Amino acid sequence: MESRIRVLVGKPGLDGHDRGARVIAAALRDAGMEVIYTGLRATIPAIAAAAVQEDVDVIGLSILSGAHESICRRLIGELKGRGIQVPIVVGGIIPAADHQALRELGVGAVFGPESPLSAVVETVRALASGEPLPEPPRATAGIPATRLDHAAICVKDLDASIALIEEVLGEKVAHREYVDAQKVDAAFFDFPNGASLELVCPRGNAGLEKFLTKRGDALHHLALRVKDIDSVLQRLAARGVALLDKTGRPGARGHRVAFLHPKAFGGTLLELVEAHEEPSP
Amino acid sequence: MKTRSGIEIKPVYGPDDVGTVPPQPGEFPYTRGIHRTMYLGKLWTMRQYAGFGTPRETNQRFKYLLEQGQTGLSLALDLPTQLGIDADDPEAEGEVGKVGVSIGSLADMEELFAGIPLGKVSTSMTINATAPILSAMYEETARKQGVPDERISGTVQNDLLKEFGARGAWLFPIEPSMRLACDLIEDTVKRLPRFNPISIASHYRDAGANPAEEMAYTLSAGRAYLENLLARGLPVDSFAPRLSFFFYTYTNFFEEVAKYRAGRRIWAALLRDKYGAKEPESWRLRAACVCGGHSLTRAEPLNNITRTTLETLAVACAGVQSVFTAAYDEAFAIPTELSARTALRVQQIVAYETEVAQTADPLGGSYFVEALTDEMEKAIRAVMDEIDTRGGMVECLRAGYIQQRIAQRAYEHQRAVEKGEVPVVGVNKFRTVGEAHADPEMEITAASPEAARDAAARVARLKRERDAGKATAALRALRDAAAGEENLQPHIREAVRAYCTVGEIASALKEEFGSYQPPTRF
Repeated sequence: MESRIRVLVGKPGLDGHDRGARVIAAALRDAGMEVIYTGLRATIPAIAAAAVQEDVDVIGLSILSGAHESICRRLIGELKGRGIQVPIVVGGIIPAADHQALRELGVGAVFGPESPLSAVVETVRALASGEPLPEPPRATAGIPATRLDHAAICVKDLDASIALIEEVLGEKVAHREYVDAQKVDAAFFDFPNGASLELVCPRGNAGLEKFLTKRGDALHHLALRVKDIDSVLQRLAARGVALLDKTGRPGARGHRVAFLHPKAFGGTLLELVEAHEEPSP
Repeated sequence: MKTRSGIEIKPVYGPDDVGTVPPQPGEFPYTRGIHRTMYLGKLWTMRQYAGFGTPRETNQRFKYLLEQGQTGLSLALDLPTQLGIDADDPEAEGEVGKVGVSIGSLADMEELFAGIPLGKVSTSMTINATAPILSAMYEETARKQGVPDERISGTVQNDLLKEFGARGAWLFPIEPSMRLACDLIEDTVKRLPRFNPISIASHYRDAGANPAEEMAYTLSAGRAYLENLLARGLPVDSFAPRLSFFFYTYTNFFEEVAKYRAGRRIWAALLRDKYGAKEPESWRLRAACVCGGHSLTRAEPLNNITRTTLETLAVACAGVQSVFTAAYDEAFAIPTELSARTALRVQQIVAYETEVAQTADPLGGSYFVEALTDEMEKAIRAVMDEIDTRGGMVECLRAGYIQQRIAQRAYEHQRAVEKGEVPVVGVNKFRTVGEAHADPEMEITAASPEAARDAAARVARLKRERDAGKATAALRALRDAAAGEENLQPHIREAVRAYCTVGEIASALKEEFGSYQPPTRF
């Protein structure tokens, strides 16, 4: 059996608020690690001595008092004096401006009050085994789509097309509506995985009229499901991606939607859909 | 849907949900408030916590806050001062002047309040293990300003039980800590009629306890002090009116209102019926509170203004006596002048722009609030009974029961937040994506780097310049008294007057009392 990761959770300094230290200790324990907690007001030499005696793989320090730089400098010195090097993780109220200084001192990672427990656990695991640190979860600069929402076919005669598709699929149309904001009639066939097929027919939408004149009934656009459509659009705009809509606007089924210019997606019109959340019953 | 204390919330409440409608404000058991006219008679005290760096820097911030319309002072002290360590002690390294001002001796206290009339302003000090020392300094400073004893007003926290349970700023083991705390209470109630020698505080909440547990632990601690003082032969009505309380308030608005109403009801009944207090002053639970604490987030810090506004409105609806509204940047550092002023403005807007202060107990009679008050009372009493069964608050702390419960709650809460079961806007719900979330740029007040050197230099100078013989004699007398049974407060006052430092006085006591070994379970 692989030996368990041993972690010393230290609460150095004079501050007595150890809610964070205890929560982290419990999370590491539940992740299968062996955790030793020093208790409050552990002195720097005591933490270093415990690290040697308990042969720990990682030291976690909880510091809220603002004395983080002085504490880390002294602990690293103390460990060196004992001829050992143990990765250190610091959590607490650490101003962003000080993170770099702590890393330069040799601190492996710094966490704040809202860091997810899983991130702390994974970092401790990585530091203990000498693996590279997990990438911090970053908002992607692209489109964080959760799935395909629907594919849409533009049609001249909605009723005739519905009849045809119902016949071919052997499924009844699930939903029909007039979408005022887009000036279209829309009909949806829903599949068990949540994706849909949309039939869309212009009723006052000049763009779609033009499309039909040029191409006849044809595949018109693809739609991806996203969360928080406005911040996705903001980021795309910031990257210079050609957008037809700068913010979400009302679409079918109460969803909020926005379109990217076809030239931004290899000639295909791409729609983003932020789901309208059903009010809970 | 459930409240933070686990009380079921119904979709709608009606007359059938209300037990008995409580009597008018100012009438036993004070569910609707401890005074008949509540804020029409006197608005709550707006007391913003401040203090950093040197006594001179804090003196300036105090004067600034008083000019802005603040009505009471609240002093934050640095950790060495809180723990009886002098600024020139190696153990104080890196901590001097960090989370509050460094007060090493009477000389520092005199400088701190220079030009601030202590006969007119009341000061609350968040000080516990060294409360006997700091209150002696405060008293002496006021006296030197010519303030007569009967006008010296203020509060020291002096609640050691919650230090063992939640806040961690203990110094001596539990027994001598209780002795020192109760010595201060006994000594003060006999001499300073307007000084509150204890503010029994609910840091259990900020460490993880739910609102019902918070109130139960705090009232149970109140009972422990009360019983210690009764055991000394003091009549209950001689000191009960001077016991005050301090609670935390988060954004769970209605439950918070119900918590205070239920707490007052329980305390009044305990004092009258169990402890036989005859004076209505003894029955009244006087509460100060902090709005903010663990409810504030580091993410999107301006949202914290909204949170503290709701919290401040909640405590105003609940009828508390004194309010500290935290600044929006508290999760980062010591508040700036802007954030400190904005926090005070939150209170002023609640007090003057809403109608909340224009009628007593504005939510009284709300089906929901009355029903929730009844439910909270049941929940609080259940926890208090459990503590009773386990031998009372002191025993529960000695056994580590309270600490363990709180740690478990904190862990449960953290996991619930991460699973999205407890919504925290900007953190696990409606989170701003991208840069805005990462690390907001904040202007941060840094304690001046000279503060530590300055404090150490002041301690050294004091030791050179004072009457050494007088100081040594005072410390020896204190140590001797600690070995016996007598009240230590007069000896502590004597040592303070002889310009002994906080560290010297604490060390003299430590020689007799030893130190506390903190639990390491989690």
